Amino acid sequence: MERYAFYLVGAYGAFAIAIAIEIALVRARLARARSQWRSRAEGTPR
Amino acid sequence: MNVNWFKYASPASFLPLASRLARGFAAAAVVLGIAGLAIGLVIAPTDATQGDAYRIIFIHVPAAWMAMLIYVVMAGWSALALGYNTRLSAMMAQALAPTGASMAFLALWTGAFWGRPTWGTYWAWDARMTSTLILLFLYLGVIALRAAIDEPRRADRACAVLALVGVVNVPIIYFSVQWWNTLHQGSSVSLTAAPTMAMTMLAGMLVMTLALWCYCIGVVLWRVQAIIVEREEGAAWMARRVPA
Repeated sequence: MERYAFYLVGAYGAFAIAIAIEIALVRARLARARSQWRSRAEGTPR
Repeated sequence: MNVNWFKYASPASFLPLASRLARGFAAAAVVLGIAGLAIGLVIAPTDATQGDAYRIIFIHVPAAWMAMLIYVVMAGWSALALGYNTRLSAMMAQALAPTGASMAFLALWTGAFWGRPTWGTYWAWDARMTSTLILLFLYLGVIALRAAIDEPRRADRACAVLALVGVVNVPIIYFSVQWWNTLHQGSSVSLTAAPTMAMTMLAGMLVMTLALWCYCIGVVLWRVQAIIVEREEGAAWMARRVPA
């Protein structure tokens, strides 16, 4: 596996990073949307 | 069991269902992902001709399949949004585009890292790779078009038309290896023929495909929840309901 380590790390590493970034962005967007919804419902400033 | 599915065409009804489903699909994606990677990276044997470089197949092929499938699903939701003017359909199409773009990018990237040790090049302008690159541009085009139009319902219609026009690219990607003489290999897995790969390798690839299915469904359901909350701001049902 050592012979192809660069290519395996390049492919699997990008895969892991892309998925981690997407999950982080989506969860942050959802948390922000819910927080703003909660603020509106409670009548508190955003 | 008698379930009124039309009830879930309403964003207000779909939001709690999406929240529950997303958690289930995310958990399934983790379990299947761990199993798929264990089969692909540990259990599956080294390939006789490609060595261990072939192990990229366990993420490349599922990502490529998902990129094509998500586009077709996005076009389906877009058609519903155009035909029936349903808000949730357009929101689903909106939620699918970034994940589809991510899968198309990963298919191209992992394909490049597979191509270099096996073909001697990261990239060639062959039909399969070029049509997949066009798929990525179509996803980016849908995302950019939505960002360029302020009024959400107008953006829905414009993006739906682009998604429906672009769906013609999906069969071109799929059949490109048959229609043209490509550097990219033909299909190793088909619904109509026996697989041309070892069963362990096939099992790893299919488990990873299931894992990516669950991941994509989970992440799209998270995103559509955010889109519903953002776009339904001011709706009466949101004022009555406070999130936990």
